[in-house]
Amino acid sequence: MCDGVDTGAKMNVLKPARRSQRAGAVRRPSIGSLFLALIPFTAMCFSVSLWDRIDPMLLGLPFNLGWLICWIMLSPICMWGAHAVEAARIRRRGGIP
Amino acid sequence: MSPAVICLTSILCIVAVGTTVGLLAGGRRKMDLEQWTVAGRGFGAVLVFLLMAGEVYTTFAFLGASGWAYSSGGPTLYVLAYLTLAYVVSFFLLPSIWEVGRKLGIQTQSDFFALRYGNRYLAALVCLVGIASFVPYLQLQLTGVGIIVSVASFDVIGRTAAMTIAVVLLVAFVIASGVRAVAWVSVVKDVLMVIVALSMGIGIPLQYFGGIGAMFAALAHARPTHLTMPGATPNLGHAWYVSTVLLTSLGFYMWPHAFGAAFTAKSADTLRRNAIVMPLYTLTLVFIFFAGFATVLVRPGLANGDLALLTVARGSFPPWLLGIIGGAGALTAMVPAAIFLLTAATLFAKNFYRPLFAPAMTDGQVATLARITVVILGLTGLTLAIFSSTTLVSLLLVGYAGVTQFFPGVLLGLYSKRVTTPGVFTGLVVGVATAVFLMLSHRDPLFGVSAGFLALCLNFSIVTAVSLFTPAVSCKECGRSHPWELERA
Repeated sequence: MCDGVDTGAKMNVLKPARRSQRAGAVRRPSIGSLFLALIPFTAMCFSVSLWDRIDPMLLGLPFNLGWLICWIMLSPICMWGAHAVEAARIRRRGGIP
Repeated sequence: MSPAVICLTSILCIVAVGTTVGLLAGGRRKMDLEQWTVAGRGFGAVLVFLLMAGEVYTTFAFLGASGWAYSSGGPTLYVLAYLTLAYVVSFFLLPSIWEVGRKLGIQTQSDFFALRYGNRYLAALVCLVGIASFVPYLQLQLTGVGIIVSVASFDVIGRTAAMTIAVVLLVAFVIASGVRAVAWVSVVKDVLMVIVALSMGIGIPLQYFGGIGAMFAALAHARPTHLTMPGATPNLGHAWYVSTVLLTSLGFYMWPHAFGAAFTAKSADTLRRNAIVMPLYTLTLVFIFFAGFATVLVRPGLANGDLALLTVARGSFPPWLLGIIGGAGALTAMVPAAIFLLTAATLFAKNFYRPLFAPAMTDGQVATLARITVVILGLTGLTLAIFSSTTLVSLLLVGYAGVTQFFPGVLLGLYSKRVTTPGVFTGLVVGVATAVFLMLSHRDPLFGVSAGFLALCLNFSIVTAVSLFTPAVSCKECGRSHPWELERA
């Protein structure tokens, strides 16, 4: 615990320019990663009336169930993209992701 | 050996292994408050994954998901969507929560509110709403243990006996090893859950219909409306689906135990990577759904949908497999019950009792009080479960809508400088009151939209409006320009 606080405080003294320009609040996520996160929300939530039906069956599953299963597997890909965006941003700031 | 003996032996073996793992999980570490509640903030990706998975897959998922698929049909699909999207939300929220937690030594959700908003009454309110929401959840887990073990053991072990044994064992490992116990018992539980889900989800359709595809074809033919929304319910349509998925995915990590799990992680990136892979574990639930949908045609007309899955399993599976289902079911209830007890007891001792009644208590005394509270809460949950009423599930849903009202305070507390304490306080009170009123007066869903979601919208509007007219939190007296600022030397 103490180590973390000390290092952080020293960094603040040494590199004032690299501190968030919005001192106070925690750094907000970037627009890019929020956009990637919006994809699964749109696919699994907002668009429900477009895919909530039985036909055509997907691999023997009703269309709505098949669609959701498909997106359970696609959403980690979106979030992996978001992670890449965030990690690059943190590295640019000189931190450890 | 008779089937009942085989069954019973497997159940007892599994529970014994689980409990031993739990008791030994602490190792030789000194179990101070920091170790007990957040495991010294040292969990890597695998343990965080197991802890969080252990918390998600409760008996509500096990019996409830199949029961809903059986009795309601289509609307139950919301579970798959909300769990996946809750992890998407957690990708952003949890690392930020972890970051401030690490800086300021936060161990509980109530600590977060106390430090961010500098008001011990707000922190105590958060505490009370959290504990009150836990009680029905804990009771539900214990009732679940009773049902699963008694059905799977051919009624050799009665419900009360099963529940009592479960409470004694889980109180013991929580006291001994804290959150480490929960994570390590989850290892045993999750492996078994995957086996059980696969064998039921594939086995039952295969046995009665010749395959999953054939089962859905038969169901679509016999009950064409069961598989889409609103299914067998009168009013759970698309508006309900969207509002409920939003409510539950935003609210999921507002449960104090889920929120607190963030602090066990070694780094913020552990939580991000965890959020990426967690949705894949939701796939095991899909198999529970398969089994639930299959029972619609196999055993139509059961009054209690929650028993559908186990009734069919008892009629179709060999005793040893039934024993594994029983043992896994018991652990599935014990792991979440353990983390509820741990979280509720810490909240009570550290965030309610100490700040309001005994400010001079040391961390060591808080840890002792928390352990005593674990025993008291365990016994309370057990008593309630033994003399349970049937309104339990509706109480749980009220609890869910209640904890979700923390969301504006957490989100704006993290990312906004402008949000104020009176704003969050008023929003929380109005949000919780609205949700409780609408749900207990049977106005959920209201105009086809989830009542908890309406309460959350109201909450957000009030926080915004009140914050605009009140001065922002100032922390000048403690030498920081903002609560999240590091203390300057």
